[in-house]
Amino acid sequence: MSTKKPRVAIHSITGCAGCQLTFYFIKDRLLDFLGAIDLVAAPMIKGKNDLDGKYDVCFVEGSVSSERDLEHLKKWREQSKILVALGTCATHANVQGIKNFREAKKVQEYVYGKEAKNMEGELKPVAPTPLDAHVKIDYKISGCPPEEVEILRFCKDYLMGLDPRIYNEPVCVECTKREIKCLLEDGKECMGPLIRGGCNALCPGVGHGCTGCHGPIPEGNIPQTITLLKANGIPLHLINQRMQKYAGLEFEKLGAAIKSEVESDE
Amino acid sequence: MGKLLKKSAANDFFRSLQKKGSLYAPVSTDMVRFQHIKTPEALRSIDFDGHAFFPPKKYLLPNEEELFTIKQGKLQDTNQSLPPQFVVNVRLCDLNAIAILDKLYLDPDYPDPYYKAKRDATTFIGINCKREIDEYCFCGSMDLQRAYDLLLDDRGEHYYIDVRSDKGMALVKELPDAPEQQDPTLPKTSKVLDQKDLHQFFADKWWEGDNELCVSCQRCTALCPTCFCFDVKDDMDLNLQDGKRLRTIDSCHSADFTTVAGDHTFRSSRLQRYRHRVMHKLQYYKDTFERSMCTGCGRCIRYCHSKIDFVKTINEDFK
Amino acid sequence: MSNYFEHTPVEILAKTWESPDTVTFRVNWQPKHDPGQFIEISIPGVGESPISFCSWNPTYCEFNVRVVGNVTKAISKLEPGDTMHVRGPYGKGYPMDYFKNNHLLFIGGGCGVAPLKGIIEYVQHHRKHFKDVDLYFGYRSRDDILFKHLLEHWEKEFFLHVTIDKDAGDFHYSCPVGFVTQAVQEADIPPDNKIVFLCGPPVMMEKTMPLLLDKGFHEDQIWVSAERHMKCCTGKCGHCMINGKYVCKDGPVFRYDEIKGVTE
Repeated sequence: MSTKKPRVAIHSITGCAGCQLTFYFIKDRLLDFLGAIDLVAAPMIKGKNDLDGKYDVCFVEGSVSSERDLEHLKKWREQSKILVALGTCATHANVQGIKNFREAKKVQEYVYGKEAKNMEGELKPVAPTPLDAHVKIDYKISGCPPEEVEILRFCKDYLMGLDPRIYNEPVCVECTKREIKCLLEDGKECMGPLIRGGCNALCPGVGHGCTGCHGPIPEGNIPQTITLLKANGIPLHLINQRMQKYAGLEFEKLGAAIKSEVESDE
Repeated sequence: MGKLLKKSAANDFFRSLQKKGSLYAPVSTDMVRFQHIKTPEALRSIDFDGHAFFPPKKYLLPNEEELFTIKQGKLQDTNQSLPPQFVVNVRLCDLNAIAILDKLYLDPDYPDPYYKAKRDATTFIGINCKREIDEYCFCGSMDLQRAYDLLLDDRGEHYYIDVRSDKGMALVKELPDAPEQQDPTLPKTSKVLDQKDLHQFFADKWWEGDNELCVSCQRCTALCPTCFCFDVKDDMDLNLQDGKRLRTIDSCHSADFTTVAGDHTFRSSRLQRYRHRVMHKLQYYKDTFERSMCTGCGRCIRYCHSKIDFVKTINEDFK
Repeated sequence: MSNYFEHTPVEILAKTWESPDTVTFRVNWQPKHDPGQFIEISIPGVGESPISFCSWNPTYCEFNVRVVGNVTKAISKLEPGDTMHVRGPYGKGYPMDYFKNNHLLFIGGGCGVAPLKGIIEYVQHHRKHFKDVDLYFGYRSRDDILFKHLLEHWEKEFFLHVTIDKDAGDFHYSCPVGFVTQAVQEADIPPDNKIVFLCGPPVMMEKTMPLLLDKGFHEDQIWVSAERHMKCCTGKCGHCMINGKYVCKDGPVFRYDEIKGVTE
């Protein structure tokens, strides 16, 4: 490990900026962290930013949803030694990705009304996609927003010169260890078996089923989980919506049939 | 040797334990869980009928425990002897599970000092099942032993306390002797696991059927009273000099469990992992220790999302 | 009670890069051990990694580390004079007395040659107890050849055959290009009074085994070494269990008939 502090940037494309916020909300540890790195660019919280220099690590939140996003992303990739997709927008396209399962024009009209037609040139939309659909991503920290502990673990591993370790077990593992009554067993809706944990079963802990904000684990048993949800009386179109919401493209890649439910929505 | 405890005086007995150390007992809310019973008032909430969701192994093998403190890049052992703790109303299946964990963790060649410190400080006091708790119990077929210090056996107005060790006797010496020794009857269950040599069914196609239902959630291993596999990892502070070396409970159902450096995974399919767990529980352990590692508590079936019933598969399909 | 997780600090005497990703450490430590046994090397803050002995010498120990993960990467940054934290030895090594008065055949692939070097050094220290020694070692490329400085000695003392998968290049030792399995297949190796030590990547072991059986070797003449990521080394953590056998306690060295047919 060199004694020179690593040059770190935190950048943002289409998203809600909540992932960056989590970064800045690591509260008591933030000053330690800022002491260990050289935060050269973070336009959300800094006035002066090095936008064109080289970065050792660049965290990018948000999904590629417009041509401008793509230009930024490609530039950051060239500037950075390590590019980290931060948050589920960056890793799985997240909520924006729902658009992939609907007719683009209709979605635009739904959001912008009749003006939508005139805005084509300004918006320059592209199908919302995760970062790795366009450039090489070195690490992914999913979550909507990602967990503090996961961001910290990543940073510590990086600072120690290690290959960062990413937690890769389903939500059920932490849920069971916390001795939470299983919601699926209770006849409720929970995506736990399919979804990457690391959140310490935050939602099931307060009686709310996992909605899947961390995106799927690679080896989830999708058909059987759908069978279980259906057995709990959850209608298929709701299950589809759940799967579309945070990681639709990824679920599709894993071989799950995710259908659009446009008609019933509007 | 037997002692008698009036049911109405049960809380007095637990109160005497509370005075000697920490008391842990099952409490029924939305589920039955072992909890710390801190106050005399809380004694009233102790449950005598249910089967705890999470087994009492958590008092010996916590989900996460610190092995060493790391100070300035050096390891410092944090193990120390603990004040006494009492875990009461433990079912016979879980008591047998503790005996199985003892075999492995107190192995004379390499006794585990962290486990031993907790084990020495802990007394498990059992309660006999009058009948099977539910249809998932199959302890009746698992050759359970009277492996306990003390066991409460319901005899109407009294609990007959079966005393099996000096450690147990020291806790109940003030109670009146039972007029005659009468060993508690071990529970019988309607669900029964046929004892078969599973080696010959290793390649059987029936594993595949169960495997299709498995969602790899790892609840079976987390809730198994005898699952003991662990991982060791270091967690550092941001100064990168101080931190701790942790032991965390791991699961053979995890895809990363058999991954070695260079990203090779030996049990790469879910089927291999599912089969490994069942084989380890019912056969591999028996090959060495001449009894099954399973105590028939039924948790891995009861709490399985898909209710995968390997007992049924083994009984009916392995021919 | 002693804590088996605790480490012994030992001084690093020498460090040699064998190949771009493989490094040998010589440390000032004299534990009683058999060839084939292993230890855990610990880097506080990073973790532990199981590494086998690659030497047999009364005055020092050597460990060959291939840089593949976080821990081995951190180990590779240690330098002579630094302290290395070790615990062990663990596992069952090769029962060398049992092999006395036999011919020995070593077949190694890549970093699998490291533990074999431990046996070879044991044999050199007890030369009169053993008969002919044949070494068949295979590497991916010229750069990957381990213990280059020993090849000359081994060539004088034993029968040595080194193959490389590709790119023979310019090297003083003439290496035929091809897999070590081919070399074994083509070689005239009568099985009588012979013990085989086989160590290498799983693919190489799988391919070599039928060749040896074809040549008339019995399963109980062949000794193999298994690889797993042991966390405790005392039969508890469960990571190294295959078919009920703990690699850390029952192995890592097995006679082939003991683990034949073992599947995951």
